[in-house]
Amino acid sequence: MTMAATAAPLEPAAESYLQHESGIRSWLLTLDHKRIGVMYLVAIAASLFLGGVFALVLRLNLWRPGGGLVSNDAYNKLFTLHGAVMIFLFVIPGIPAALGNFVVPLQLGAKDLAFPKVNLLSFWLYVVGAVLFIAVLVAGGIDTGWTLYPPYSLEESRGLGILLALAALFVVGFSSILTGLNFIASIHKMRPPEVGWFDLPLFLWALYATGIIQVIATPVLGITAAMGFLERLFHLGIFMPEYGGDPVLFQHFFWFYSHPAVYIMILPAMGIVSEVVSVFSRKPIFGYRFIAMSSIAIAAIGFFVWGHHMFVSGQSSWTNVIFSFLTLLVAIPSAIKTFNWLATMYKGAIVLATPMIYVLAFFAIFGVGGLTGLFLGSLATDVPLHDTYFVVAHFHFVMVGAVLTAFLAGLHYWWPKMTGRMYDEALGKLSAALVFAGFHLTFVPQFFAGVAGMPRRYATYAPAFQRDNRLSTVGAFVLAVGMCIALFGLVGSLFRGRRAPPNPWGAASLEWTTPSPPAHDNFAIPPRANKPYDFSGLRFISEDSGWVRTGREGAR
Amino acid sequence: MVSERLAAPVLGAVPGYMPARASSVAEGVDQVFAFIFWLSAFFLALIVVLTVVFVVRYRKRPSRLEPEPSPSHDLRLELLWSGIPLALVFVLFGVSTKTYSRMTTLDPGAAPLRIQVTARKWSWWFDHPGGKGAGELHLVVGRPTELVMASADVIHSLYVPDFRLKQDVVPGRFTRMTFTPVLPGTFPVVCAEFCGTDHSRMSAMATVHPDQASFDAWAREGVAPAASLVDLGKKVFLSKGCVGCHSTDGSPRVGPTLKNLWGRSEKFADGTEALVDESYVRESVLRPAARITAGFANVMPPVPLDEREIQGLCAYLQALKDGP
Amino acid sequence: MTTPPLDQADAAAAAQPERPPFLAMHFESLGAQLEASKLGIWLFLGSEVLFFSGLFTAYGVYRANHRELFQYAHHFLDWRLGALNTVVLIGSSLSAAWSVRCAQLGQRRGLVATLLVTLALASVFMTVKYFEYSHKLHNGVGWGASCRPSGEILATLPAAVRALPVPARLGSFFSVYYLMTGLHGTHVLVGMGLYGWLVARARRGDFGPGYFAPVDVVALYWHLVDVIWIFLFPLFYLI
Repeated sequence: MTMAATAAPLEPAAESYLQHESGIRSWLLTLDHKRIGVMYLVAIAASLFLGGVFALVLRLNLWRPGGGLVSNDAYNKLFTLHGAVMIFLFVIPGIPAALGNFVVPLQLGAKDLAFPKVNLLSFWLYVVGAVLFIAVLVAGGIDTGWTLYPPYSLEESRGLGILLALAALFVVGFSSILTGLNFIASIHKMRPPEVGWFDLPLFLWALYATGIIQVIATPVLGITAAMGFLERLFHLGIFMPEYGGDPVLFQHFFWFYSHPAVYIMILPAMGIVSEVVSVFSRKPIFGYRFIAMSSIAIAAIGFFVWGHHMFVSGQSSWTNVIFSFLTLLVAIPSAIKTFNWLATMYKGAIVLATPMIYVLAFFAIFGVGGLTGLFLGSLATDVPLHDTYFVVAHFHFVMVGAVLTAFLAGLHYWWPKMTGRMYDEALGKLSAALVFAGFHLTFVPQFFAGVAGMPRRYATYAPAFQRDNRLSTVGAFVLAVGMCIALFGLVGSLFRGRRAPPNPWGAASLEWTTPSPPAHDNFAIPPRANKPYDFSGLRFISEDSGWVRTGREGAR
Repeated sequence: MVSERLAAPVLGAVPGYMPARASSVAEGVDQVFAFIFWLSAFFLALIVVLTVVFVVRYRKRPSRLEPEPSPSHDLRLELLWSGIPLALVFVLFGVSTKTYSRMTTLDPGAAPLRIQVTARKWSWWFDHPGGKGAGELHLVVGRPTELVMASADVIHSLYVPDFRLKQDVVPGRFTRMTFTPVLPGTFPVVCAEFCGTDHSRMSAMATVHPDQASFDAWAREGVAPAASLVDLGKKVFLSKGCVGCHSTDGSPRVGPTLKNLWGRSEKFADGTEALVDESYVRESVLRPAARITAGFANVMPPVPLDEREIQGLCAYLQALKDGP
Repeated sequence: MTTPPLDQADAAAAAQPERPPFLAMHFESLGAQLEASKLGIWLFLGSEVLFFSGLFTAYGVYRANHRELFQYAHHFLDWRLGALNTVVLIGSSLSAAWSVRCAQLGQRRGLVATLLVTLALASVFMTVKYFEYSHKLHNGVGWGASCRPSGEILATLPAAVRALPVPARLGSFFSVYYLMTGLHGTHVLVGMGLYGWLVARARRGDFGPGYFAPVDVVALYWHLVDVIWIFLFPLFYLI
């Protein structure tokens, strides 16, 4: 045992990507996907913090039916920026750009993404977009909702803020397109010679499906933002009825992007869940091909469901019926994935480490989020529930609850690889429990308020809804505490954490064959083949040495 | 408390919290809701129970260091858990769409009560038949109702939780809502599409009268004749130059006569046809060249009217129609 | 133990002394690098098509809603200038394709010449576009509410069209026109920048049979710009 431990840290001579170069320039202008991933992670965490602070102020204002903590206008600006910052700066880029950037080439067995310069450009476009959003705030904010529906959003009185916001969408959109494009090209062309499509980790399948959506749907957001920008400046008469335009056309364009964008958020989350559930059950993933294909199916169907955001916009009943049917179909690939994950745990040897606990939380939260989607895809129930707190609760379950728990699962899972340090398990588990409890306390009451008829985006509300709103506010603070503990545990590990072995979890995908943290060029010798869910031959040596492949010649 | 709340959407209204079922479609909507609710509850319970059972039974512990051998795929299982959701989706779609089709069509029965709704930041205005305009909506139990809605500024959405109905009010076009109230009483009407500062205070009351007589009494009370939409329409007709080319007695002049025009199917120079309704009138006034009535020349200039003036014109056209 | 042992092929690859100058560190060969670049540009072009499709959809919606307006307004556009520009762009696509062949065959002078021809034709396109735009703008044919055509330009319309009243929303047509041709023109300008860069690199002798990915990739982009114009021309000038 002790002998093996000394043998374990392989290639001790290789300096890690963190030590490869030093100085601020070596980070800001780096072409190394791992460093870009880390920079994304920092930027995204800052956005999450900002969006979270907005959310807490909103919840505090809703403590009393009459509001009063901030003015109605300030409340309206806050929920707009909360939505815009969370969606465009945290949830959409969160998993792909931060974790994906770091992990994709490593899981592929490649030295970098196909286009490192494009990757850096994508990061800086993200930063420019984020700065523009901050500029919106400085310019006095906008009170349009993140959906920016004209004619309200393009009225003359909106001032500079709306122009900055549209410019920010345009820029952030291109950042997202470039990330997706890079992933697709890398997954196609950077695989080792003997790795076929069905030898790829499911996280890569998920990011591949995500990339398709990013490349195809995001440009429509770009052109919509551009048209809105010009409409506001020059009164083109495209969206504004006042000048002969059609405001509903904007909604079609907006949701043609923004509904698939929900799948940009959830598909990578599902990819993380597929990895973690298999590794921590110590069993190959169940139904690999069905999970992989259901990612593609979700991406494909996802392009044809946008109309369900417009069931009461005045579009024809037949259009509504068709969109309703297509929307309900999304339930099937989601169900396939869920049952395959559960089947993966069956007869496993389940290790309840922090990533797995977050994934268990994901199952329940995604279950609620997905199933409440049925109420909104079905026409008869969507009509009363549309634009109420039911919708708010539903999309927070999917976009926040499910994505956030998966993001935190992935972050804890790959943290040792990224930083070379083990996080604190006790803090990790505590944070998972608080996030789970706080999340439900925040959003379950909102389902009730919605069913009872409380519309969304209300700065004030009828006294009947006070109890729901107070529970929700308390829950939001519990959630915030849980998030702070997660942050504290992770950041603290940088200073106090135990050194991470190359493979602390006994995972079989290629990133775990590199040292923790990996070297600048990832693999000194390019791998030729990999079976990412073949755990046979992996043996646990010790806490310090982690798992190593023994016995038969691995990875052939 | 929680169980009562959970049951509320399913079993019925808890006083003061759940909205009443005050329209003819509310019960159907609640049935669909209950169906999905129990369906979801079953699947959520299945997911949670399986998760908990698997974690407890298969947790790694000294007596269980390695997983048991089990297959890594099974086509029959996959087909089972894609097939069952697919079948349920079809059932759900059928049930829900059937109810929805009732929600979007006018109930048969007595002549519908047509009410013109104008939304603006941050108030509602309802023009009832007979010329009574008010900041509140008045309806009659059992009488099919059609709201024809226009916005003076931005997008609003008329939402009556107790009716289970909602419809966006979009500037530049008319939208409709049809229903039949079934309970007398007063119900809140709110705005569900974000529209600015006082969005959350943009509300009105809907009063459902127990009978027609009670409604008529309210509708007569304090109506200044000048306030009626028909009069506004007539004023527009006389003052905006329409009278120069259109007659009201059935004789064609430079343009078609307005008598009996409303509700007719009009034939156009390009061979198409359309029903003369609010949308058509609006297009004809604002963009006359869009569709030219067969037999007439493209000579009418656009007339910039506001939404209420167009609604007035529509009311006037209805008044120029013979018979019911 | 976690990495497979070196076999002969790996050893050969690792021992290779010289890497070609334009081979990035994360690719094993120029061929692999070219394949990745081509896939990347195809994805980007797919994205571009969707970018423009938003505008084509807007065009379709406005045409359906304001048919009389579109039929009236297209008389303001001179189809002869549009046709000239179509020919110019198709010619530039030909020279762009030719430049790829020259690069693959290592014909340096031919490469520089074909790149310059492409650049020149692109400039002709933009010059024609400049005259079209300035003529309209000087005669009050702007976008949106600012569209108030002068008597001078109205007089150039066919007699049958001149007899009709000027539609109220004439500017809507020109909003879509300026937006779509303007975005296309922006793409042409970007393409001209790229061709300028290629000319400089070609003169330096960067390209040859082993490494011609930039020429290939920019030519693909240029063909897309051409194809988009082929749709814009009939939609605005002819129908």
